[in-house]
Amino acid sequence: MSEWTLYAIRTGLIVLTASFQIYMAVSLYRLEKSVLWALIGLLLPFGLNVLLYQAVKLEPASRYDLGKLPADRRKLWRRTHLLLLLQYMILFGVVGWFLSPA
Amino acid sequence: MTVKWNLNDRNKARILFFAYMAVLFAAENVYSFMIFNSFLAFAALEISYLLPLFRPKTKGEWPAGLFVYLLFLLMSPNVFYIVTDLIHLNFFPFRYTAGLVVREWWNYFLLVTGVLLAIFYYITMIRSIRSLLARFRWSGLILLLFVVLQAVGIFIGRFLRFHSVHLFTEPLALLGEFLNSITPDALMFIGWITILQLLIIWMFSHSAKEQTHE
Repeated sequence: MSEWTLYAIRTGLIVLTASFQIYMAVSLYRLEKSVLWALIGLLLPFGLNVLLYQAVKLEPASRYDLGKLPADRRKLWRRTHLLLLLQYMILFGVVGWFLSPA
Repeated sequence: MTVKWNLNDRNKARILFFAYMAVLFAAENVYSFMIFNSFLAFAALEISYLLPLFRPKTKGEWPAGLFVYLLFLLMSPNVFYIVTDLIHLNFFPFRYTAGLVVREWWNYFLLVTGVLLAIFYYITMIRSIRSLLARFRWSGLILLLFVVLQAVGIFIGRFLRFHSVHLFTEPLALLGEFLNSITPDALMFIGWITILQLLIIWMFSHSAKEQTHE
């Protein structure tokens, strides 16, 4: 594999992860009006930010049934979780591709 | 900002997962494969909490819903798969009559902890599925089908060495090998794993109705 391809893949992964972190920081700030939550959204990678917010805020608010969220929140968290799952699938795909024997 | 920390089963599972990962990373052990296996099991458990969120309410929500439900179905055998990792206790001879070998029992402790965690995840996951199926008339039958599929998934993962991702990358090869491998022995294995799961569900997982009574 050429240097350029490796560079492109690495850059792609960094852009993907960074975009999701910024998206989470903005979302959590809008929801909580809190700089701390915005920082958690920005700095905790690979869905840890989502997991923490879900455990601390989202699940208690929905009485541990995410299907009971109000419509606007439901839309936001469907989108967020979908983006996170896609991010993981891309990461797994790339890592699996690198690790599998040629 | 008010933060209320509820230590229910979901959060217990999360804390235990991260604590277990920390120990596996930090301490000397021969079961490093448990890091990835436990991660996959934990991921399946977390996806099970998302199922009510992705239940489609409009036509436009079907593709995302289908994607998440299918992903869950593919990932879910990873939870009970860990129970079959007990076979790796054979890394050590356990000649206990010759005295206590600390390294053996430390690794025993780590592996059994991982298996117990997986059983806890399994019970929590089944609870999520049961509450999701509560509205359906054939919920018991659907749950049984799910349990059998878990056993089939475990068989494929354990003996054919296929992974969930191969269903996308090599679907025909997987199907072909699976069909070729169905022997009476394979069916017995699938049966035993099914019975093990049903025993655990019967002993530990209560339906929503039973929980209300308690």
